[in-house]
Amino acid sequence: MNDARPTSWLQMANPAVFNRWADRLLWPLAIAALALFVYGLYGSFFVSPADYQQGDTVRIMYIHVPAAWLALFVYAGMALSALGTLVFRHPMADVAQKAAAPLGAAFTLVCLITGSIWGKPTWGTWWQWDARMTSVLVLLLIYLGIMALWRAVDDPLRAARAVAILTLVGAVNLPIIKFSVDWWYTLHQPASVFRLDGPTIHPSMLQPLLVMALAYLALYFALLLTRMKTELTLRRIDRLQRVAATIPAERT
Amino acid sequence: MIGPGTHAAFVFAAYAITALILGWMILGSWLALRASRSKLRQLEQVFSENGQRKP
Repeated sequence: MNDARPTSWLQMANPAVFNRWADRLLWPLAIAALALFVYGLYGSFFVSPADYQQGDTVRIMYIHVPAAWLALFVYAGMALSALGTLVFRHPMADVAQKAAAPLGAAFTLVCLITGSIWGKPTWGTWWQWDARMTSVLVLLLIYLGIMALWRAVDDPLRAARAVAILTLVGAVNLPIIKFSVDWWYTLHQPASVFRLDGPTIHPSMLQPLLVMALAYLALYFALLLTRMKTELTLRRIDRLQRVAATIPAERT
Repeated sequence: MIGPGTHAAFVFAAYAITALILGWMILGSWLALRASRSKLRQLEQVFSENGQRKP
């Protein structure tokens, strides 16, 4: 194959082509993530001022908010992969979905734990069953349900279809999370970055926040490629083991 | 009223837990890839030693 030609999504169905592209992208993504984390953490601790009401506790925002964005972003990507499995039957779609689920669960867990730690000094409580917090907890449970379903069904094709349907059903939760702070009265504050009238957050705080979000994003894609490569290797091992198991039976 | 020391403790706890979860994720993904590659190499070696054609 000519490497100079652009690789289409159909060519990516070939694990060898995917692995070649993943190998090219993995280290640049990992290095970018590291550099962005260093720059973002410097901005979070040394450039960004303390909040006039919350004091230094506001610095939790730089790890909490990007984790929340990634929790939603990963799920949206999984919903697209689910369409890829059900509609286009792309072989890499379920590989991507299976690889992404634990990463999305981890980002959601970071979001919930750091939010709880931020809530105690700010609101005076670790947890409140308000619409935003409860819907994010539901997102974590959906991620865990998807991971459990992958393990529960032995046949990968059946598992992929079942997981794709569950993922699409669970996608209903995404707009609920996003607009929960507008639709209901919640303890959680409304959006302050992604607003139609522009961000309401001061640039000295917005810049480190966006850098940290890019760091999380680069880390996510690096880990996604790593986990997809692992999943492809495990499927290859499974195929070889099945073949190896049939050979003595054929000889006898 | 919460003092600055308590603020710092909350910030430290949040960053430490995040580092633990992200670190576990990075290490887990990397070790899983290494383990799967090693197992595949072993299996492919068995195939080539037995003169079997790989699928």
